[in-house]
Amino acid sequence: MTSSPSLGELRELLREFVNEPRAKKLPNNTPNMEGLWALLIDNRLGNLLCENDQLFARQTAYKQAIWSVNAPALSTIFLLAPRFEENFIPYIFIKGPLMLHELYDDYFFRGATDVDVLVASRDFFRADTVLTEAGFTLEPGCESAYWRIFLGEQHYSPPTEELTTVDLHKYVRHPSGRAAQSMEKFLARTLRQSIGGNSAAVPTQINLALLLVMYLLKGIMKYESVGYFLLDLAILLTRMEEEALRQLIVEAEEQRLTIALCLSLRAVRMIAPLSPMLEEELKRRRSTFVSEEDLFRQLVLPGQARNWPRLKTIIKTCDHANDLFQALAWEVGRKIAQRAYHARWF
Amino acid sequence: MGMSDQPDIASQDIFLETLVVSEHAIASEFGNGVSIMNLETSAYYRLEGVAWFVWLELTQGHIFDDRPIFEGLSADIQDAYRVSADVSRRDVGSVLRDLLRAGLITVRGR
Repeated sequence: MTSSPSLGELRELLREFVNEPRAKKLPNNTPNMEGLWALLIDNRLGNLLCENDQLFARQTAYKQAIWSVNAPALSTIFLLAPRFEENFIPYIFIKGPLMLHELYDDYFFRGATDVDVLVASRDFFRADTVLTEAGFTLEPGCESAYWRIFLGEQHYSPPTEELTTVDLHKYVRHPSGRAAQSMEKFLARTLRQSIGGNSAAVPTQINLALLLVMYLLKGIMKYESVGYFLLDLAILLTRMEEEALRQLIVEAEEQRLTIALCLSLRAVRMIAPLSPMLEEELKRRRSTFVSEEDLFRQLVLPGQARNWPRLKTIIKTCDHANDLFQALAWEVGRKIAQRAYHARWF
Repeated sequence: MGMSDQPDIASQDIFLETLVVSEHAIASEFGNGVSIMNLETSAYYRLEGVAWFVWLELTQGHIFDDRPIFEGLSADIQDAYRVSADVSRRDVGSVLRDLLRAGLITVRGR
């Protein structure tokens, strides 16, 4: 069991990193170094620490592992971005090394095991063609209706080991159910990030913040350690101008993600101060169904946090009663479809 | 790319501002070296020791007091590794040629 000091130390490290985004030096005789390292690794935050005598071999292995997955991811992005554009397919690369470079100026800040790309539903088939013509092959099982309709994603294996798996998405998934309309907004405005003389489309700051909110919520519901997404959101929010933050609040409301945003902001507040505007928003949407300490523990140490029943989480994070009905219907449908898929009905 | 396409690092006065890291080169430092990938060719390289030293000097904007880069690097290697001028010149020449051949650095204007 990870001790409370490790949790406190992690929180302090995260705070320091948000304040000054540079790897932190810990003395070699830091107590409970092993517990802290384990917690960092679980939360994909190993690069928060400078190289350290006690951990050097493991840090080297950690960075080597990141290199071995992120380098093929970058090659894959470099290959595919121009091909989507040649075929006039609007797309964005989400998560992955491009996001890491944007937030941390480091493509290798943490591992990205595959390349996630979002396209519109109407372009899904054409994007599939682009990938197969580039030599990627659809993984077995993905062709099922369950994957295509309910999950809205397809996984493609690379043709060579210099490339990596591509996850093609057509939904931006609110954990309470897909949000088809809002997905279009993620593609309507994008940023360009240069990579090796080409450029690739990535989400705007506002859309990236909303995606991170959804990733955090998904992490809670799946009992996964997502301290890395918490740090991502904290770093992003410190960079956003007041007008962008104002727009973020507006967009969250339009996409029915206000409660989810406020939950995420409360978590961010554990490691970084919020702007007065965001604090004001939190005051307006007062939520007490979980304390911030419990929320932080849930995000970084879910195995030792209290139980968050999935349905209760959905209910507590839906903005409107209409969404709640849709969310519950989707959840029931998803469970039925999942069982049918595993029973090979389709 | 044939050897005749490569500039003669030792004989020409190539200065730091003309020797640039390729836009296709993406690097990550860990362990006692740096791993670099060439996005265009999908080739991977690992630099350690003298090669890493040279890469750091090239990428961190080290100033060589108006000396040609080859001379500047050779002098720095000589100091850092306490080797003879001949050894340092040979090693630096070898590293720079390899980096050029791999497309990780280019001479501006070529």
